[in-house]
Amino acid sequence: MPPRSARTAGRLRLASESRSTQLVPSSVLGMLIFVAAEVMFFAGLISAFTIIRAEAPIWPPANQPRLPIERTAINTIALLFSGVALAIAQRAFTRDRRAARTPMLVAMLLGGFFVLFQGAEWWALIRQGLTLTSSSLGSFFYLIVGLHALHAVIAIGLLAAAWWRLQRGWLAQSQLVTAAVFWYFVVGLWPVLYGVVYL
Amino acid sequence: MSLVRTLFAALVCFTGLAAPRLALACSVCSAYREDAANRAFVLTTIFLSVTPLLMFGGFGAWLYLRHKKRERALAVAVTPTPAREPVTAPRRSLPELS
Repeated sequence: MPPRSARTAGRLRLASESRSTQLVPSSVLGMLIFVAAEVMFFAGLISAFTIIRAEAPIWPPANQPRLPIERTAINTIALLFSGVALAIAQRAFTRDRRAARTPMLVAMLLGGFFVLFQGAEWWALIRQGLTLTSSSLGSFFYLIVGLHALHAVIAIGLLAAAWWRLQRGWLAQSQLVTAAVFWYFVVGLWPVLYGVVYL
Repeated sequence: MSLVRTLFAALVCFTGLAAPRLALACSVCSAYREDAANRAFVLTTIFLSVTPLLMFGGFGAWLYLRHKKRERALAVAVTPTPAREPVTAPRRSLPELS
């Protein structure tokens, strides 16, 4: 049996070899699989909403407020810009890690603005009488948009953790990409939900 | 036994032909209806069928392209540089032994 140090060296060599042949880091692959499951989850919700909407004789249902299309369009643009800011941060990270700090912060702040704006919008709609139990529109609106907001909050948390690590110089490329994949999912999903639910 | 099976299959076929409403009992067989709900059923069925195919197809294509890119990069890194002409020192005559 080889001595302990030789075995450890062998294991390290094997680990480094397997890492060098990895096409996608494990964390990124895991996040991609998770995102694929989430896409199917939202696809199911969108399908159910589409059928309920098509079967309704009047849409939006009677005595229900109109959804704020124009104000949400501004919010949509803010979220899309946050995706662009994160893409800039990723590009900057490969050249100079410190240069990625500001665009990452901008992406997080725009994401935070999106969530807060959505909260304010919900508050106004509840005061106008649109609740979870008031109609099928209310049920689906709060379910779909609420789940997206929950995902946005989790994604902002991931970005904040990545930013904190970046500040301390511990952030690896794969960690940034993992957080970015989830944020791009949140950003990319929103225009679809906006088109289906609001328009 | 096979006669019983044949008769049973014939009975099922006959029932299907005689009672087309039964054959249209599932949610996606309502093609005879021409309303918004039916269109929504058809569209969402297509949407839910195509989405995973596009996702996994896209992921597979991305992996393949990434693999090809890495192979090209490795090929460039491994290509041997052309061998240089061997440097030969001018032959000097050995000193004569006296």
